Amino acid sequence: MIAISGLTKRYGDVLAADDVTLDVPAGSVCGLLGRNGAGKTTTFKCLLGFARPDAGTVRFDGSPLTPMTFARIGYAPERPALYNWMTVAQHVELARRTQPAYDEAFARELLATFRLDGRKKAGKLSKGQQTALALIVAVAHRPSILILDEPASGLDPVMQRVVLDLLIDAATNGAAILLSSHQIGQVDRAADRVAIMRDGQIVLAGELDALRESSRVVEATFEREVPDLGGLDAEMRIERVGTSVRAHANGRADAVVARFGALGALGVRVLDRSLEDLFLDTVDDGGTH
Amino acid sequence: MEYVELRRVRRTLRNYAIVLLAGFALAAIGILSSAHSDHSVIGVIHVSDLVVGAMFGALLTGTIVACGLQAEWSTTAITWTRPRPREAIAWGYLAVDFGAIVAAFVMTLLFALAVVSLFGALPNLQFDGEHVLRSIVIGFGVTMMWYGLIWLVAARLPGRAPLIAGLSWAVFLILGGLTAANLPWLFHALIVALNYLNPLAYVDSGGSSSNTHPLIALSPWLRGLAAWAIAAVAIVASIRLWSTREA
Repeated sequence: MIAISGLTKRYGDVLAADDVTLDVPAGSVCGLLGRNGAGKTTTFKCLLGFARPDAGTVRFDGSPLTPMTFARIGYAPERPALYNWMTVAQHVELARRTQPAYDEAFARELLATFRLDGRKKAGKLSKGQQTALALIVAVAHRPSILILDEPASGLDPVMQRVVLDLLIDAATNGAAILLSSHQIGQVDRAADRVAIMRDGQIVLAGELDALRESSRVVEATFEREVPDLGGLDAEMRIERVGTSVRAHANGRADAVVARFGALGALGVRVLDRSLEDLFLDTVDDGGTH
Repeated sequence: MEYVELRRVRRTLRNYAIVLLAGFALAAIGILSSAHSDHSVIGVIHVSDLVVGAMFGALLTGTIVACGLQAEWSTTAITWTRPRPREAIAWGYLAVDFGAIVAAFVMTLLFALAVVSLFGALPNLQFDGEHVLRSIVIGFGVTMMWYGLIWLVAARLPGRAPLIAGLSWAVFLILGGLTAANLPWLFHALIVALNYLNPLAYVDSGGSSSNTHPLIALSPWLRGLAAWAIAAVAIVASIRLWSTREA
């Protein structure tokens, strides 16, 4: 389990991570979303000890980070960090020599899946192949904690699916996975919980299903103009367009449907919101409503 | 992680071996094409002189392999996510690099002996024990001091180790040369002070045939000790900087 509590990191005047608190339980994939500069990479750096937080704590399975924790952690950065002059096979050999729990069969399987030529130098690989190699180095020891920054960046759609399946499989086997991606579809497919960052803060976090449930929109159409909604405006965000009204129901969709029915709506429907809608609402408007 | 550094130094030593072999081939061609060679005109060759010459190979290799640890700056995602303390990784790199420096010294010494044998002058070799030992102590001390200073400066300037290593040759040579220049006393004093951090200032070419004087006016053994001490301080400080640095 990954537990981040009150994590704060300042670079000069910039508060890159501001009181970040987030739990990723074992067996869970958490998508960390945010625009560029939102604080995702800083959070990752503090998690891994690459940067010293000004405040807050990070714990893995209840213990603070020590060098030995990395026997259980797999990390793949946004830009693959590889030795361009070393071959694919030498990178895998490096993983074998440095990770006590290295799984030879698994590494071979991944090399075959990603169709990487062991003799090829890392510098000669395509961006997608470099991403794949960095991922193999990160996961060849079957870590129970995975921290992945854009793990499918540059991969073709087939390989992206392979990576997501890999993550889901790892989570099914009990791994705690923190995953950052700008491709919301990937997060939507792999993650069971999300955290959305803006200006260094986590502005929305929770289980994806619950967030979707609480963010349903109820849309109603009236015959003439929209009647007085009886204080509903004060309780939730309301959008009026002509004779239609959209209410962001904040988890009370059934009650809102009943209210619109009572007000004589001609038609009422409940709209499920996609993760992308949630994300855009959150980063554009400053939070949920 | 030593695996990466082993691969780096292997490449460096392979290239260096190619240069030495090419040098040997040229020497052989030169001797074979000459009418005759008479080793009696060569005179006595002290082993300590060959050792001092071989130290150049160690020094050259030292300044190249000194860039290895700092090159990890671009791959911290791998280097710093291994289940080992960063300090242990750095000490491991040091051990590999020191091995490479010793190997380069031995290779250069063998090259020198091979060239001597080409001239048929092996019987002229004379083992001058104390001078040999002194040259080894000072030579490796100077090499490790240079290596440590590159580490130290590069730890403050991540990603610039090759530039620092290259510039160090120019800086140390100029710094040494400036002591002979006719400068105002204040500048001269400053140059002399700076030369205490110049590895070349601890060298007197060391061997029995040496008639040069080192810039640092200490006894040979004290010079060797000072070079080793500066090397140790620079290495320990740079490991501290490297292991506590933020990425």
